[in-house]
Parts: sequence; C-alpha cells; structure tokens
Amino acid sequence: MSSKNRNLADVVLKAWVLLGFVFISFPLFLVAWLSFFTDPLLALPPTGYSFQWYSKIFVEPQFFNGFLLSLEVALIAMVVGLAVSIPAALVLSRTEFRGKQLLMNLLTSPLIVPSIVIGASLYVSFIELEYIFDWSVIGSTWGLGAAHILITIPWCVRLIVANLLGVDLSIEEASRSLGATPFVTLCKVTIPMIWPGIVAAALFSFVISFGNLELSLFLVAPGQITLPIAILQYLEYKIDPTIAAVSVLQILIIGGGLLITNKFVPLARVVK
Amino acid sequence: MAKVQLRELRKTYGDFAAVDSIDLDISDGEFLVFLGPSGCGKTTTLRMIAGLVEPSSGRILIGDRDVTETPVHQRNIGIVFQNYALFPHLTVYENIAYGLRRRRLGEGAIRKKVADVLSLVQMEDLSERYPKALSGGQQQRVAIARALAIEPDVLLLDEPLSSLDAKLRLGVRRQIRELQHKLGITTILVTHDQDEAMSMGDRLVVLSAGKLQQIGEPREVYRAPANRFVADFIGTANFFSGTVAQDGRSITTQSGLQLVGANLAPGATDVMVRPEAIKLSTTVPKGRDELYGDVIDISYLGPVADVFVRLQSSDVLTVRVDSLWADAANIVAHSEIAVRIPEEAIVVVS
Repeated sequence: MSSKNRNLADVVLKAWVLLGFVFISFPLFLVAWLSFFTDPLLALPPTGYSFQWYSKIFVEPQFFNGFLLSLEVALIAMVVGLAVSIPAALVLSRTEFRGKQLLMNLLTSPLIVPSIVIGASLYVSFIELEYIFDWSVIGSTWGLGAAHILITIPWCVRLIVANLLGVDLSIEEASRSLGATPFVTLCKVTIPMIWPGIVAAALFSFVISFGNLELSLFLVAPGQITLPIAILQYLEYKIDPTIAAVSVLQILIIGGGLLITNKFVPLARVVK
Repeated sequence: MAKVQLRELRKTYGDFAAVDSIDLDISDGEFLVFLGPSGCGKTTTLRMIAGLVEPSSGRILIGDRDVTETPVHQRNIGIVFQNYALFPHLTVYENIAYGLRRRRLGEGAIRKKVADVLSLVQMEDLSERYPKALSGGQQQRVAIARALAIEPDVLLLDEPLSSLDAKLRLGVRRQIRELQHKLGITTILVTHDQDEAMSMGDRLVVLSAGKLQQIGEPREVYRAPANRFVADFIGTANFFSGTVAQDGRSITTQSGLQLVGANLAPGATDVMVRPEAIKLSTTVPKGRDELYGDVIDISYLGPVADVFVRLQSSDVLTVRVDSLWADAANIVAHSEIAVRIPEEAIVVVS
C-alpha cells in the first residue's frame, strides 16, 4: 500500500472511532446539559441555567432512599456474588470432572435469559416461599439482594475463570514445593495474581446491580424502591430536569468509582 | 541432602504408560541427568519425585523416608521450573524468603539466609527488583536461589536452560555444576539436550517411551551404548546391520561391506561406529586394505568438520575430522577418499 493510501486509511479509521465516541457520549452530554436548565418543561433554547434540580433531589426523599437501597443491594450482590464465584471459578479452572461444561453454562445462564423473565420467575418463586415458610421475601433487601446475586455471578465467574486460566500453573506448583499448603498457595499466590480480575468482577457486579431495573421491578415493595425504579416512577408523573440531575449524579458516582479502581488496578488490562 | 530411590515406578494414563516400571538408585550428592526425546517420560518421572504427579504404582524414597504418599509441601524438595515460575507479585527478596516464611523462620534468620543464597548466585544487588524487571538469566538465578534457600534434600531442575540463549547456556551449565559440587546436593536435571546432559551429569539416565534404556557415566553411555536407540540419541552414529563370521572378527553387512572388528559374538548383529573414530586419508594408494568412497558433502562446524562419504557399497558414512586437517588435506565434494575403520571402533548395539 502506498503511503498516501495508508494516510487516507488512517484518517478514515480515526474519523470512524471519533464518530463512535460521539455516538456513545452524546446522550451523556445532553443529559448533563439538560440538568442545568431552569425551565421545568424541556425547551430549546433554555431560558436560563440553575442548580435548582440538584437541590430538589435532596428534597424528594424517594431519590435519596432509592440511592441508599440500591447501594445496599449492590454491595450485597457484589460481596456474596464474589464469595460464590471465586470458589466456583477455582473449581472450573483447576479441576477436571464430568459435567464441567454444564456447570459453566448453568452459572452463566442468567446472562442469556432476559432479566425481566428472571424477575417474573423469581417473583412467583418468592411468593411460594412466603406462602410455605411464612417469610417476608418480596420487598426485603435480602430478597432483592439474592436476585441481584444471580445476575452478578455470570460476570464474576467468567472474569475470574479467564484470569485463573492465565495463571501459569507452575507458579502454584513452585509455591507448594516451597512448603506452602494448597490453602496458603491460594491466599499468597493465586489470589494476589488474579487480584485485578477480582477487582474488575467486583466493579462489574456493582455497576450491573446498581443500574438494574427489570429484576427489581418485580421484587420491591411500596416505599422500598431502588434508584432506577424511583427514576421510572418519577418519570410517570413529571418530565422535569430532576431526572437529568439524578442521572448526572449517578454517572459521577459510578465514573468516580471506575477512576478510583483504575488507580489501583489498571482496568484496561483486565477487560481486554 | 539425601539419596533417592525409585522402585518399580509407573505412571499410566488410560492404556498409555508414560513411565513404565522404573528402578533407580541415586546416591547422596550425585548429579543425575534424565535424558530422552520429548514424551519419553523424563518430566513425568521428575514430577513424581517432586510429588506433583501421583504415581500409578511403585514407591519413591528420599533418604530413608518413603514419600510416595507425602504431599509436595511436606517433601522438602527444591524445584527449578523451565519458565522459572517466579512469583510475579513479589520482589526477588520475597520470592526467596517465601519458602523460609512457610517454615516460620524469624525475620533475622530469613534476612541472613536470603543474603546467603543471593550471594551464591551473585544477585545481591537486585533483591528489591520484581521478576519482570530481570533478564532471563537473572530470573533463572533467582529461581535457583529460591529453590536452594529451603535447604532441600533434593534439587530438581526441569529443563532449566532451555529458555536461555545459546551463549549464556554454556556459562550457566558450568555455574550450576560448580554450585552443585560446592553444596554437594543431590540433583536431578531433566533435559532433551545431549550436550547439556553429557557436560553436566555424573551419570545419565536415558529414557525412551517410558522405559529406562541405560544408566551410566557420560563416557560409558557414549562409547558403549546399551542399544541402538541410545547410540542414535546420544551423539551421531553410523549403523550397519550384518552378520559376524565364526572367527568373531569379520562382519559382512547387508550392503555387502566387509568390516573387521574385535571380540564379536558370531551371528546377526547391529554395529555402530562413531564418526570421530573413522580415519580418512587422501594419500593411501588403492589396493591397500582400506575402503574407498566419494566425498558427497562437507559440513564445516568450526573446530571440526563432518565429511559425508559414499562408499562403493553405497553406504553413506558420516566422518568427523579435525577442521585444520580438513583444510590442509583440501577435502572437497566429489573427491575420492580412503576410509579406515579401526577394529576397536566397531561397537555392537543390538
């Protein structure tokens, strides 16, 4: 290829990538811009700019309570999801047994089934549980957390298995030959080596749980709603920039989390 | 430091015997080399001694202790892996201290021991580096230091030189050999490189298809190979199949060649001649008691040269000559040459 052609190809590629970025980030910038409009009804151009919608978030209790519940559920889903996924990933990557592929498929199946279907089935199952054991599951933080664990497991298992398969087995053997028991080897060698994968899995879990709407819809009770549901409910009655302001805050919180994590574990290396 | 004994050691995968009933006595302080082509079972045997592979049957004794059922972490064995297997998340110091911490040594004792082994491999200056900031040769020395720090009963080296470049390899061979002499530690090295095996081992164990072919000192294995496989695998050899006459001296090969050996058993047999044992001459006139042939090609290796000679019987011989001699005698392709095979050079291999 001549250098002229190569330059042209280079320009086309860069333009294409830029277009992709614009396509992805345009809605985010639009939302951020809207959140500062003074007008309660969306109008272009805006008559003025203000912070009033941000202060309104703290006056409307459903957003703050929703945020707290989402945070709580996301933390439960993240911690328990990891606690289940790490041992599962170890078994899947370090042992051979009949039905291994089946187990892998089972653990990742919540990715394939639409969330709304899982939500509906869980709702029916939870009602059965309430009926049989007289537990209060629907509307409880733990019921919601349990449902969210289900959707975090596929991500955690996949990421951690991929990381474990990347670990040179002779490094674990070296550890054992130096006198470390299998458990000490796990703690001192294997876990530190796959730490970036674990952090990435934790982050994915948190973000997926925090933003989930479809599952939660079935499993919340009045007055006990997550942030995405609070946003949805608010939208049913009003379309003012409060929603935009809430979204901006949510983006900032998750984006901040990503940046902080990136400080400790270079995420680009994990998710490639 | 201890002797190692293998008793009818076997490892099978389904119907396939990776290691087929190996008996071996390795004495205290010996440097033993397992040598063989890939898939011969040498690495599997090493891993069984290490405790990383469970034998299908047989026993392994280290010192006087039967360790067949002992898990790896209780065997007190130092292993140097082919790719070094350093802990990437730990510094050189912590890599070496790892085994000592598992033994619950005090911080002072650990510091002293790490310094000792680092000076043994001449790596004192790099103790705070991470493995990825080291060259291949340096990583290998750290791996050796890490294995030695725990004062193992046995040191196992799994193709430790194969990832180093050729020039470095020669130096490291000598260093490992010197270190082993100094410490007097029982050492087993696995390799497929015959030069490495010959230059490092007190004794060689030649394996093929899971079976032990020959055990012996390098010289013995080279000069008196137990069978055709060993003769072929170690060094190069010219083979002839033929029949030894009743006098125990004259051999008629299948190609019609007449050779003269010494003290041979009459009957059908395979014999071998090492390339350096054959003498070439450009000056012997025809009619003397010699073989004649044409030089097909000459391959110049520096100190020596391999001359390929097609005899009148159409056998092709590889003859290794001093390259200075080859220069002086002006050996070139398509020239006629006289070949003499001394009778002591003929070795029975069947």
